[in-house]
Amino acid sequence: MKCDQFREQIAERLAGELAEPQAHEFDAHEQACAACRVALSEWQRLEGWLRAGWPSEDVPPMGLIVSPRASHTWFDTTRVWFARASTALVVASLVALVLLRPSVEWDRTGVRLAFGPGGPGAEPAPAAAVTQQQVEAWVQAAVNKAMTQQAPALVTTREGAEAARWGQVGVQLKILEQSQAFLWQQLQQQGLYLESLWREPAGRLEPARDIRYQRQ
Amino acid sequence: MTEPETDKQLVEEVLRGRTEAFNLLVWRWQRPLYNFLVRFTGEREQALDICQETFLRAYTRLRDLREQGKFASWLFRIAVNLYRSEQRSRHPMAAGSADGTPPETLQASAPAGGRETQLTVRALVARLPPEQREVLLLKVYHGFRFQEIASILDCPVSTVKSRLYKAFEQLRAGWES
Repeated sequence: MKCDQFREQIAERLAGELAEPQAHEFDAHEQACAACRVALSEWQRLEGWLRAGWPSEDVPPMGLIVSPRASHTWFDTTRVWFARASTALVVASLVALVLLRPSVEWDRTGVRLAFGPGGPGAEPAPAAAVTQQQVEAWVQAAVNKAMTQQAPALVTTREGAEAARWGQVGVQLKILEQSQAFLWQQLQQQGLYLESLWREPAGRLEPARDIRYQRQ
Repeated sequence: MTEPETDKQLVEEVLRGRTEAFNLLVWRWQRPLYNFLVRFTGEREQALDICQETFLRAYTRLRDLREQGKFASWLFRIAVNLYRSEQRSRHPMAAGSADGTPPETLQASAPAGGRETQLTVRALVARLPPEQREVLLLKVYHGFRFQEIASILDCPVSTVKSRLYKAFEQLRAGWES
């Protein structure tokens, strides 16, 4: 080994990173060459001087804290899926309600259920389209009636039949709305928030949610 | 007494959803990283900012870490890249180099007697070209292996070795004078 090679390998040898054949050659050269022994010694002293001359400082508080997420056991996973399924069911019911347009009629002979425009034995649909205000008024009236637990009245007129049909829709919508509100209430009481419905148990790492980030 | 968890184990835990395990990684590496940045940038405020940004970036990109046992060198690499891009945005004309303000302005906080040594060391280190300075800091003060330094600085191992050798030669000349 030449002196130049030796000096270029000092850092590696001191760090214990010189592989065995080279390490052996290095040590042999060190024994044989007085100038390189001095160079090695100088290097070691310089390293020590550098470390002593610039000690590490304490870190100021960084204010970076990652909050633990709720644990995700099989129960949590099931609960999330149950919540998702319930929500999907509510949405599907609403869609079905709108598409199937169920209607119920009742009189002294009994109750009749039908789907689509018009009910069993219903009067022909009025020639003029029903206005939105009319529908809203009927829905509101029916909801009010349902809420005050009034007995259903006998339907005799064509307008009354239409009102009753939309009223039933309104009542069912109200029931679904209340069910949904109840569901959310239940979820929140259990600590299962809306956002948790839409992410996987070990989801993306998001500093905005996980890290309290504040310079102290 | 239980063995402390390795970086690799902590990274795996974070990725499995136990996100608070990242706090241990921050606690373990914030001091070395902050001190590297203080020595490299020469400004404590800037060092702290880059340090915070580095941990945030590491947290959001933890899934990109392929070799989970090499968290430390990956973290330092993020910090070096952040510093370089910050320098580029501050000094667009100097794009392509990691040159920054030499840390000669950093006040030494040594007891009497050591103060002169501290000032001399800081001044000599500050005068090194940035590419030699970063190699010297990573090797002498943080004990990274040559292979790790090459990975942090994204350059060949032979380059790392020659930069360190040149840095030592320059420091020795200044030290002797």
